[in-house]
Amino acid sequence: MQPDTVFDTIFDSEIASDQQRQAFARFKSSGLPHRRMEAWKYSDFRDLAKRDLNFDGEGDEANDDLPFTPRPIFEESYQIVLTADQLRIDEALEPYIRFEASEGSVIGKTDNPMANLNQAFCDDVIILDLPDNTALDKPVELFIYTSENAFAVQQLYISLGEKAGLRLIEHVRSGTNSFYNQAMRIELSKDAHLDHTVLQQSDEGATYYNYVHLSGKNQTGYQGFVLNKGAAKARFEMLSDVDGEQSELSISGVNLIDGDRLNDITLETRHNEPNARSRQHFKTVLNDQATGVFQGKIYVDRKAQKTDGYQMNNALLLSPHCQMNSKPQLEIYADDVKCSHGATTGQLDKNALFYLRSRGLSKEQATELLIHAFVAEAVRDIGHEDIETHIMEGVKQWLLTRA
Amino acid sequence: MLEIKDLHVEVEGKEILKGLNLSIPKGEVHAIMGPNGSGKSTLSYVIAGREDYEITKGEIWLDGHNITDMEPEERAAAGLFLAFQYPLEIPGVPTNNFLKTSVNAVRKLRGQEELKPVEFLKLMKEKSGALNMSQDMLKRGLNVGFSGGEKKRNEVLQMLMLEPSMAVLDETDSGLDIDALKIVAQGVNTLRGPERSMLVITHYQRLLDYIVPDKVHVLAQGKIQRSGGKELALELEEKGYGDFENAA
Repeated sequence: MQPDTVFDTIFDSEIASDQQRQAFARFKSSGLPHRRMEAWKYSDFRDLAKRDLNFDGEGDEANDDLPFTPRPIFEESYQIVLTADQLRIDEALEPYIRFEASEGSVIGKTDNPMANLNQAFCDDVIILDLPDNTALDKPVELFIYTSENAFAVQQLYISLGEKAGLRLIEHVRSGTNSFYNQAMRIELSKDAHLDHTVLQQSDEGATYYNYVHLSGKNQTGYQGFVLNKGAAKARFEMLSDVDGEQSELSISGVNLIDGDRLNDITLETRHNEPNARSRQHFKTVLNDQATGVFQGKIYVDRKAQKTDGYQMNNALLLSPHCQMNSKPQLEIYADDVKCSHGATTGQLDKNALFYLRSRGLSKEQATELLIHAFVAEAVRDIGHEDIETHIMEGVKQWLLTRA
Repeated sequence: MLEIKDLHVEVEGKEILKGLNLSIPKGEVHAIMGPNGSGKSTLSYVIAGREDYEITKGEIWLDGHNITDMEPEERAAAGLFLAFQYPLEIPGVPTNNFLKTSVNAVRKLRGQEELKPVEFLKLMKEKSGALNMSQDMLKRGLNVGFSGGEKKRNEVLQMLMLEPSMAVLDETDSGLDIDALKIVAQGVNTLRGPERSMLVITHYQRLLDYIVPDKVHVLAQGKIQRSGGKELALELEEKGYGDFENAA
């Protein structure tokens, strides 16, 4: 048993379900993630223990004012707003949304301390369920806001029926010194397609943890993208089960890390069936004393012949004091597969800088152009101009605030 | 007008240029020829202001300004242009966007107004048309997927758009077939004029059939070893650089 933390103080075992109590016990036996746990080798979250966190899950009396202004990307989209005491859902979505008690449907029994923490504190799951042959005519934009110093947990379940289609954008903003812990389960039936963009732009001192478990049957398509900007510590973790043939599962992302922030991308793609493609493609830009982590694994089962797996992770270090930790892993048991991976960590190309400057661009302008180009390679994976433009604007802003 | 006085340059502690003198008056085109490793590319980089090249002695003057310690972008603003031997590929930066950024950056530094989008497009179409470059090509990432010839054409396009008073062409003929060579040379020749000087750096005489120089210099062992008229190039083509490589 690990020493008591702020979580012991706020965990109420009397109102917790059996399943929540068990999850909390598992969390207690492992403690908060730290470097001696293999999966958390580069990311230590023990500072959460001493944080003065208010548990946000109870929900005070309803407050009509939102603590922030949602800024949707699309002029027309269905919005969901999720804060400590509010849940606003566009009426058009109501037929597809329901709530259920969280009974391990989103996270199974796990030894992942952050996921256990989520399970221990989360009472309900928000379920978005699109029946067969249903495609929404507009994207869904989900706004998640965590107040200052708050601890908030959330579970989301997204289920797409056969031939269903959805474009989902998550705007995540966690307030100063808050801790937001989210778990998401995505199930794609045959021929279903999900375009999923996560924009994490949190405030100073915030901790962000997101655990996504995706699985897809035959001919499914998943195009995911994550932008990480802000938050003192952020970890995006994704487990993808390729459970069908002719499927294409792709996750890309951009991490912009400065100050003494930590950003961790941990991915595992499991090819359990033959004839499918998967892709992991991340770009990380680090400045100051920032730390970046990329752990990417592709697992190919013995029967998953003709798998086409691709992994690429590139990091750009702008200061001599930042650090990138890359751990690519391929675990292949089938003999007829195509799996390629690459990892690079480097500085801006001096020759390219000179070339641009010889054409009149200032050092600053040339630097920005090269970073812009570096990041754009992953952003282009989204394949939707409005979202790409929105993200590149955010990149531009980040570059401007860079010291 | 470019004037290089007693230029000594070290790269990683090794002296490459050992007291080079060169003067190119306004309106003239000079060629520098020389064997591999003689310092031709070093000279072009030093003129353009690349870091890592340490000038231990000497000065470079452009149109009455001492540019020896200037940043590369300041030199561009002062009227210098270097056409690279190996133009860089920069994925994610469309060529046309880059051209606009470059033209406007230089105009701003020169105290001119930035071009309006329409004006820029007109200029780009006109100049690229003369070089047989398609608009489709200009939408691609800077030099990405360009053939050797296309890259060189792109260099000349940038030169035509930036209108330098002094252009240095570093082995612009390398990697070009004869048709591409003619197009590139034609582009360069359109820039020739009483207000403009050019320095053509080349290993072979071939390019000088199309860009006919006023003077030819032989660079070997870090110094100009001999200067002469355009006939010197033909002599070199015939005899090779053997005489200069052994010179002390």
